[in-house]
Amino acid sequence: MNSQTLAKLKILAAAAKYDVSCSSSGVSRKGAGGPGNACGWGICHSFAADGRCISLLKILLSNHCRYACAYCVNRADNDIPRAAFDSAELAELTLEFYRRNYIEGLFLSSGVVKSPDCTMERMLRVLELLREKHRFSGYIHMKCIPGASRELVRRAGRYADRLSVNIEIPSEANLKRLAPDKDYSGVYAPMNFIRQETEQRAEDRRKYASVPDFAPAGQSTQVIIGASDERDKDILRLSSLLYRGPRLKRVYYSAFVPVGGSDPRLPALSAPPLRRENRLYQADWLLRFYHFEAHEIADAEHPDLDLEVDPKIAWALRHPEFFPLDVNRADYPALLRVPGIGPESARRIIYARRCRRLGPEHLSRLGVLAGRARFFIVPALDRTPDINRLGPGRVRALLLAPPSAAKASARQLSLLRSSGNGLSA
Amino acid sequence: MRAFVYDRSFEGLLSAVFDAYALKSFPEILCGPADPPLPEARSAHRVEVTPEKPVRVFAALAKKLSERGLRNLILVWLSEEKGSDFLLFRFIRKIFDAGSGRGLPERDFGDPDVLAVERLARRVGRKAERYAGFARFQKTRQGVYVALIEPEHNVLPLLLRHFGDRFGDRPWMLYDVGRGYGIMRDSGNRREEFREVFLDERLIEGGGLRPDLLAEGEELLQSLWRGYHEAAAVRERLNPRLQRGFMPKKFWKYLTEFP
Repeated sequence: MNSQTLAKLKILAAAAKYDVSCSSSGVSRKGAGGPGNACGWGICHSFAADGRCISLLKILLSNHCRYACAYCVNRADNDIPRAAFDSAELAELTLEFYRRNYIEGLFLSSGVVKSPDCTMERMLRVLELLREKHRFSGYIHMKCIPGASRELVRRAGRYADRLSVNIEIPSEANLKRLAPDKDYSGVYAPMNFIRQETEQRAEDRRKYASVPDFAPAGQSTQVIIGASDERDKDILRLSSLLYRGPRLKRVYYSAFVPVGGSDPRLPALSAPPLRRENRLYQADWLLRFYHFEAHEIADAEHPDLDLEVDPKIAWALRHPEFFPLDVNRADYPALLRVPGIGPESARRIIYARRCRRLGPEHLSRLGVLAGRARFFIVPALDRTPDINRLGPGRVRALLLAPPSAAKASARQLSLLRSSGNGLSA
Repeated sequence: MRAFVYDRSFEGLLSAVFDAYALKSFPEILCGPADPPLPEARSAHRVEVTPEKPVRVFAALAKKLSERGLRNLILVWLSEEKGSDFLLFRFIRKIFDAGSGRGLPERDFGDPDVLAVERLARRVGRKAERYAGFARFQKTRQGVYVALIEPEHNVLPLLLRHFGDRFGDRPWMLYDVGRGYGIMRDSGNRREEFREVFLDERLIEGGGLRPDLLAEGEELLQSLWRGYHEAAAVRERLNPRLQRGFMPKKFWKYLTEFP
């Protein structure tokens, strides 16, 4: 390691930063003689100036690439500085960073040098050094190059905790248009193979005492948002199919950042669509943790996510008939549908109501966000009328109002109600 | 008003619980031996810690609480937050006195004390997880990896297993600058006991060890990390507010990436 290492490191880190996966979760492992362990919940080690978590040393082995994908900063015809790491040097750097607790492990990707297989071979050399020579048991995420052979994917799964094959563009027609060297079969073949291998190991494990791991933290992928014209409903349908079919652990969404040059095949964006990206992550959360189906979040009638309110509120506003929900009776999946109630507060509600009946005074202390939940639940909070009385339009306006205005209107609402009661009494 | 005076140790707190049940008299306030006498305290009971009392109380708690509930006790104790000892006292009492209802007493979150224990424990647990990520080790000339932290809660004991596992057979030390104590594990035998260490203040400079104590090449490594950290940010997405939200400024002093 020397002063040139820094120059290379900067080039190859900058080249890898558009891949948004950061997680180091999904596997727990104790140290085994060498350095390292892994924690099931993942650990964030730092945050970059863009606010994204840094958990792994996310780096390309080389940013030389023979492909010409229009959306990618590393495309062959882009005039940028190029560099490549020597495998021993990168393994050593990973260990040194790891020992200082800068990182949780390595996330290795690469530009396509010569062929997919040739590139995979080079990446595998780094993993082999880390796992076999240095006995490293920290986290490793390795990108599989679309079109890589089965044997190499199998070897990658032996060393890596997580594998990923990036879809990048959410429909095949657009992928072929923007990335002439790629197609969906090159992406789905390794993805399905990873699933088969994982299932095979699970079956073997029932028969034999000791079966080597295969990518124990599963696989993930990434789609780029806004480089092509797919609607949110198409993207979410794709995600839900990926969670079911190849059993992906995560689908990452990456707002398209125009990366130099002006290609007529790409939309002219003034800024990356960050708001849309955020809404897609929220929708993805609904799929994975909130028991929602993709078509409930976006469908032919509502093909794109509402940018003003989060997708759970949007669903609730479209379904006033589901509310108000009685928090003393509703089951867990129903509680999760209430805006302002998350998995943690839903669980607390369920435990707490076994011991006593819950009144409005308990709810906000249990972690329910009263400002949102008040239109959707019984017992009423601040005596707020529910969504069926106010109507979805009014609730939407109240939810969008800045906090101070919302407070004032809450007072007005309760005044209205109490004076109403006074009159009828 | 009845006060219990105890030695401010965890064993002392459990002994206070023991005494309260033995005397059938419960304190309305807990004091340390050095606290000024309270004029409103009608009577004070001095808790004597014996080897037996805490063990018996803990064994009784272990029968009533889940593993998670027991862990919460420890987390709340380590919070070192003002009044958390009396909170624990009330919580333990509620656990012992609870009838056999439908729900678990430790999850009766409609009760303010039970909820406060759950929330405080969770907060301390989260802080410990943060330090599992944010502790930064520096290699010394002797080859020991040393990290300095300055946590609000006493989370150091919660991190030992994690780092012990992670470092394998390399020597390391985790040091709490604010509380002035650290834990070190020497090289060689993986099973070797942790030992408590105290560092001379003069060895510490800024957020790290004095530069002349560091191993050769340590400075290069740190500059590589700073270079990486800078290069990893996407310029078009700069969002320093979000960054500070996840990683508040108070941590920065000890983070290698912020010189």
